[in-house]
Amino acid sequence: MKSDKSSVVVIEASELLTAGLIRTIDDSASFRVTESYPDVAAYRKRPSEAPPAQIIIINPALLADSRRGGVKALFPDSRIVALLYSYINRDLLQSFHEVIEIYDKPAAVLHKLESVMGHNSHESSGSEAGELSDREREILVAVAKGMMNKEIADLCNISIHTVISHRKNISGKTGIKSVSGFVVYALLNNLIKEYEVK
Amino acid sequence: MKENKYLLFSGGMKMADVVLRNYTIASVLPRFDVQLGFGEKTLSEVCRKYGVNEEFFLMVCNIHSSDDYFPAPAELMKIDVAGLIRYLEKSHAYYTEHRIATIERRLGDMAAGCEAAHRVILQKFFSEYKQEVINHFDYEESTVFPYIGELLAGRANVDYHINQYEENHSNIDDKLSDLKNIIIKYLPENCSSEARNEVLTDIFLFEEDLDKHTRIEDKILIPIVREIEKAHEKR
Repeated sequence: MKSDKSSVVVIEASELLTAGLIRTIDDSASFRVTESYPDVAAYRKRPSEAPPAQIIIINPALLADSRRGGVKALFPDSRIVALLYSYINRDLLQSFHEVIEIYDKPAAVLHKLESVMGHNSHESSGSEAGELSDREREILVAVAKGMMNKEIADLCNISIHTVISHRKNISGKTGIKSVSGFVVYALLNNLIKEYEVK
Repeated sequence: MKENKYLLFSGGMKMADVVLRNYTIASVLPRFDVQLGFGEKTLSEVCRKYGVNEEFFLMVCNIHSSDDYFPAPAELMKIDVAGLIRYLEKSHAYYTEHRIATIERRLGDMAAGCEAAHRVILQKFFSEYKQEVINHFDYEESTVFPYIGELLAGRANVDYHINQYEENHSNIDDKLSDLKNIIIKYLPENCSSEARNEVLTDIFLFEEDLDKHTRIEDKILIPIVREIEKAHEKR
């Protein structure tokens, strides 16, 4: 029987938690738990012709023995959600599309599942890692000199929207949010001279 | 009973154990005019001795110790608002006279080993931050707290509403977090690492304390005042 609900597979060792998740998810209008497994090995035994689940909810601790960074390789066709209730390495967590914590309210869990289905190209949004690009450095200097977003947009021939998104990325990379902070950054890195600061 | 992260403090607990479990509470005590040296006294006994409202004191200790803790609405209504405001004012004084003063001094010590130009940059940045914090505290003490005092005395000022405060409750912690990033990532390596670490520790501690302070204002003060405002409007 075909259903309009998105299919969810739960991989979790605790029967209590699995039962709670199934209950929460099956009560919703948009999702349905189609299968559940206590560990990855059991999941692997499912018939290969079975269609991949749209969402996999899995306790990251169960992946400890599998290849490093292999979550996506393991479930290439699914959105992967971590079920979290113990400490976990941040890098490992980054390969998940979303995280559910066991104290999340049912509504929050469903909301997260919905957002995970909605954003198909979520991965590229976070650009926290890495050095500033030339363009970003140029904009940082302009901000430090006291220019407004509109002025910067005119100067660089880009839209205000683009300026704002560059500024967000600059803050993401440097961790600096205030204009005064940008001034200090620019001065310390010799990107501007003191007299250029307003 | 075994230590457990979900265990909240209670009146029957030895006051010394509260501080032993969370040393940051030691810096909260002076804001209640409570002195160390409790011997074996319980938290309730200490509160009685110093004339401190026990419900509020416990709430503050719990907020300082458990990130997820949030007092139930019924508990909020038991709080003595005048005492709460006294506590906030005392905190302001503690922050400016001790925490910020210490960071400023340590920053100076650290910068003494840096290039002259960098020293000037850092000092300018910090004095801007300091002024921002002082302005923020002044606004609360000269506008928000007197408004609440009037409200408690039964006189409602129609020109002001606690929502305005909420809107003005802007982020003063951006600069503090920027300073952390600057010290960790961008100051040249030739600055003394010991002095750097000392400043960093001070900033982290202050940041944590400020975060609790903001939570007390947002999660306790504002909801209580909103209730009082509602009661006034019904009249």
